[in-house]
Amino acid sequence: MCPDQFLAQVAAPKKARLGGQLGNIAAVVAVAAACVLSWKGGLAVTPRLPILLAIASATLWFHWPGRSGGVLQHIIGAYLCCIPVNEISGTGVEFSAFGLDISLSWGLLLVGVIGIGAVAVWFFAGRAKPHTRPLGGLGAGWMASLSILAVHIAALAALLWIIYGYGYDKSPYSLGRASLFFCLYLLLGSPLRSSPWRRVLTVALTAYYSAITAGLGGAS
Amino acid sequence: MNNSGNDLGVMNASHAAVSVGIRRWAAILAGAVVVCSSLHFWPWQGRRIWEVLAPANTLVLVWILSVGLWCIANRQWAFAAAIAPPVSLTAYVCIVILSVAFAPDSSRAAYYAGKLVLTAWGGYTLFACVASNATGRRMVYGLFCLAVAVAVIGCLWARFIGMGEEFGFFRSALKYGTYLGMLVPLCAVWLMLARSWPVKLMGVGLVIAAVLSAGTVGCVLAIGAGLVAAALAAPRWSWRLGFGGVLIAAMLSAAFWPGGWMGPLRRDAAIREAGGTHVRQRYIQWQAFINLLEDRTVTGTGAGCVNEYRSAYYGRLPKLNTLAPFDENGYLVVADEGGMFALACLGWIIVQHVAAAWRRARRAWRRGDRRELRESLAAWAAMAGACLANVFSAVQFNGILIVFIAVLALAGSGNNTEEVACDY
Repeated sequence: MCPDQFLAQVAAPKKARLGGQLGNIAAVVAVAAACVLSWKGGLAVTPRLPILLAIASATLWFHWPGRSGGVLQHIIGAYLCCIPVNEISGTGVEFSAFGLDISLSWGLLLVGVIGIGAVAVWFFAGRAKPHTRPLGGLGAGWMASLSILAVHIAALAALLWIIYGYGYDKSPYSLGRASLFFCLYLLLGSPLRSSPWRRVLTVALTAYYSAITAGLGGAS
Repeated sequence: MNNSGNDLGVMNASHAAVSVGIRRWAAILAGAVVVCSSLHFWPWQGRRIWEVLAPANTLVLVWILSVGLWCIANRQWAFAAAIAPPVSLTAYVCIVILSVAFAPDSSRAAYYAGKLVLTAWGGYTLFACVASNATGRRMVYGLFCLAVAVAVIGCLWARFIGMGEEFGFFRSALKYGTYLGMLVPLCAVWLMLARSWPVKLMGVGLVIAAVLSAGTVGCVLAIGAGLVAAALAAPRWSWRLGFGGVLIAAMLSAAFWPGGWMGPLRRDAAIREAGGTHVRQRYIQWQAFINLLEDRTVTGTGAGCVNEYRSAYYGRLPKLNTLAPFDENGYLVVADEGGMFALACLGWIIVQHVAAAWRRARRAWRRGDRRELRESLAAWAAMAGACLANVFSAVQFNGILIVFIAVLALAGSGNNTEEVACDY
């Protein structure tokens, strides 16, 4: 946290200070919930060398030196947080409402929780402009990669339609899933840049990947 | 990104003086890497140990060891920081290394990741060091012209005089196409913006010869994309007309060239196969890659392991088993192997270096610095060619990646590096 941000938070009223942390709380709760859900439900994609992920998550505890180090830490942290969400994205909750059968992916629900937290920050913390600019320009990379994916899907759909008479074989779920993780990357920026919250995430992620490495419980 | 990479211009004079010897050493190694890149894995293609320790890869390894030891022995931490790759490339390498955790075959994934670290990280530091001054850049551009000429002449000799099926020193038309797709725009623009008319004509001849020797549609499209990009960015109408005219001349030459000789190119341009009833396997595979991404959006399949999984994702489309080696889409392979974070990092690398080359070109035009403009336009054209070549093959294949990395280093280098080093 920058000194000016710290001073602004200390000087703010208690309600605003608490409100300012709602986004971080929501993010940590969502990541921890993803870890628990994927661990209990079994892993859809089993890592063969989870020790690598456990070591990487443990290194998040320390502040990586330099600005480039901070950017790299943010990217690695977001990647490690997104893995448990990826594990449970294929499953979700189904319910009926207003005469409709609704199915929601766990990934979407968790991103929704973090998103609500981010909105709460904006609302309670005196409409403070959230620091949403993605660090290091990876945001531009995400936009480029989503565009590349969309162009490929569109070109392929047109080609298949011309030759076989039907378009892309599946709905563009891949693009939707990729967009979901882009949102997650953006929303995890705040807790990953704040040392105390990054350490809470580090504990959750290290425990999760260590449990997988040790072959404990449902994750084995 | 201010404290990372490709901006030797931020070094002070004392650092520059201390590092003269190491810069000369870098220039020797980089020159040898550029020349060796044109020979690809000749003469022992197919031998695994040779393909790992090919001269270009070995020279990069020698560079890493020598510069590492030199920095440690002389405590040159500022120099090490100055030649370090940008954080985008480092992030990409880190994600690929972490993706090894999900690979079904850890040894293969580690081997693949190791090659990537060696070539991407080591190669970038090597070329960033050389490209930090005008003499080094001029040497690299000149040697790339020589290397492309050797590759094209070798291919023309093999195909039209030797009547062989091989593409000169490159056995694969797709790898040869990716090599030319990046480098022909670079060399053609650099040669055509020279003051001397014989040199300009060499650039024209290079484009025509490269298109005639091409065996893939990706190569022709990449060369076209590079020249069109150069024409769009060129500040003078005479230059635009020159680039456009050369492109049209090359296309006309290919159109009127004897049909039998252009057979591989025409076969590659077809979008149907198996009696004309099916979509070409290349495009069927695109669908498999995109569908695979749905399950492994973040985790990927692990570095170098996409082929273990793709067969299960063809959907209704048939698996024709007609795919040629290296006929893959570089973007989708990166996304499938390393997940969306890897593709986002690749996108970041491309956006960053394209923007750097563009800004250098605009600034050089405003200042009237013709040499800088010539180099930055050439790098801009090469980036456009690389982006398109990566659709029909992959720039990260062994032997090709070092060329892509060199193009990145050239695009991100220059005398005025303050904007290159800024945060995008």
